[in-house]
Amino acid sequence: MTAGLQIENISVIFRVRRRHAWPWRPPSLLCAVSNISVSLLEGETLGIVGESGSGKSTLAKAIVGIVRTSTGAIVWRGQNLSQMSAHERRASAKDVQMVFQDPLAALNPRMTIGDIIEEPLRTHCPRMKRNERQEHILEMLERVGLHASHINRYPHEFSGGQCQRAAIARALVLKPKLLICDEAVSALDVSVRAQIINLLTSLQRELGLSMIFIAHDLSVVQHVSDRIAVMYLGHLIEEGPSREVVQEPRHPYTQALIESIPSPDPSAGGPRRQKLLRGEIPSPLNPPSGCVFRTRCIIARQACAHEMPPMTPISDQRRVACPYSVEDAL
Amino acid sequence: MFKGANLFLRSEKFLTFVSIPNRSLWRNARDRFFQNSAATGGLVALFLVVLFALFGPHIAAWNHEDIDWNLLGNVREQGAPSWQNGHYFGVDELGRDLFARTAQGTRISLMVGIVGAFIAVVVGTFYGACAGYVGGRVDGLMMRLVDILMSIPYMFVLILLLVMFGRSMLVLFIGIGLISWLDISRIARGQTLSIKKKEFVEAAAAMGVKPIIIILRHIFPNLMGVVIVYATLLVPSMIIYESFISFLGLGVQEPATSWGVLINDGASQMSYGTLWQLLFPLFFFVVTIFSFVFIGDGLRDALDPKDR
Repeated sequence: MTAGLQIENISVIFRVRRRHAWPWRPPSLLCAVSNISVSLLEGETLGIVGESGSGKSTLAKAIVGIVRTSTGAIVWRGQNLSQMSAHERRASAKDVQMVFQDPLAALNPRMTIGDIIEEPLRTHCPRMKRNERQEHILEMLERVGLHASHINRYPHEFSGGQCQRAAIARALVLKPKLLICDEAVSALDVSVRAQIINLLTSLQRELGLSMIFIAHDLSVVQHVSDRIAVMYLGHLIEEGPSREVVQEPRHPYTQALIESIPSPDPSAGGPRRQKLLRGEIPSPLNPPSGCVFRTRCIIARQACAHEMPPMTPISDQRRVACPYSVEDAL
Repeated sequence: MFKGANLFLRSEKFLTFVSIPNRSLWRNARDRFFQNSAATGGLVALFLVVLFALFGPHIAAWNHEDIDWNLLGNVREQGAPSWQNGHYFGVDELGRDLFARTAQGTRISLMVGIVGAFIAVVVGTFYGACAGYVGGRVDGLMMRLVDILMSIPYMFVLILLLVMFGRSMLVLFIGIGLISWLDISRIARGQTLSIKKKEFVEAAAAMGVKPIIIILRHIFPNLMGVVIVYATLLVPSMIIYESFISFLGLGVQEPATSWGVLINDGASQMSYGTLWQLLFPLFFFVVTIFSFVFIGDGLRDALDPKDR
């Protein structure tokens, strides 16, 4: 397998104007994604987890190009997406598609399901004939488990799960190589969630997709991903094969996340261990000095306040951004 | 359930599903519009007013310019509406046939209202949607321009235009068009700001759709509900603008007339007991404005697919 997507040191910095501030004061900088490097092989699924506000969605939006990156490079199959002109960038969108969190909000309420799924075809294959497009749409509808008669309905006539199926059909109608699912199942209830996840994994196998699967719920991510990357406050803090990360988490934050997965059978697990995570995620406008996690870390020391520890390899495939957990591993 | 549907789709009967008739958005909207009786009534009333404007001058027994010398000086006693002398709506204070004059005034007022509102909607919506979608400095610059234009008294500009380029309907249209889009562009911009944050717009951008297409395909249709309602309210206000300009003597020229002129003339004669001079033009004016409001209301409900 070859490297499909390589993300090298990308940062996304927003300029935020505070309310009630004088207009001549410089806007404060919000670093939503800082210096993340991660790569994705073709056909692989990368899961990204983290709390709300950890920069997962911003990372996804940076990859599809809705959000501008401040530094770094996004290399897709040897092409640097971040240096492309707006025109080239739009053309490259054919290969990289995205599924959004809120299924109903992601579909234009004034377009029928057919029009919605047709839109990528109209954008990228303008020469295609109308009946040819119609065939593609029907094929896609069938693939995602919708009925051909749904083609003229509007999004509000569907349930959340059906809307998400339509959104997946829209994302896949161009046969992309990379699909980014940004919290694609978070808004759905548990049984529908399972259906959509099964649909995604089976479509991935059929079409040979690479996938980036973003969720705040580790139990979902672990189910679909080959590898998992954990984010906290815009930083990548741990990365590795999904089973290893879940069974032997190294970073204290990852440990806390895994600890917080609810058990399906509360009586079986014995007494729950102490909660490892206290408090709220700090404001990204005013991040802690040094290691971003130190304010909530149970093993934080004096030295943690100086600088953010870099991602250090602890084995062939695993990297962790905590020197103390690396020491433990060696 | 889905598995069953899939199996069914793969079978030969699949094609029978495809031939289900296409329910277009416009057809649905039309059906819903006609279920609303107030809106349908408004449309019928407006249609009748338009018919009156189109054919009234041909039906009238008198020309709108000609003075009935028999009645001049004796309007109060003999100028009331009557079938015998052909003045169906009576005569005005100069003895001219009010039926012909009302029909002619309806033509001009409707034209001013509809053309003015049309220019406002097209220019204002596009300007506002572009400013809102692009955002940032461009937005600031475009909206400050609107602020500057708004701060200039529009009547002053309109009067200057009419004085400089001469009194003609074309200049009147241009003048009204120039000022009327300002409000609507602000409304459109505000709506665009909220629409562009929605995920379907982001999805389109991620899909590689060009910004101009996003504005036309995703932002415009979602703006329409608000804009149409505002536009139907704009038609009466355009008619009122024109009336005011005509009142100042800069709008339509005598002997041509408009509702504003007729209502003004009628109102000034009210105390002499010739009430018909006020009531006939006023009736058409009020009916038209009510019709537009009801139609606007009906259209908004009809064009919103969530209301089904």
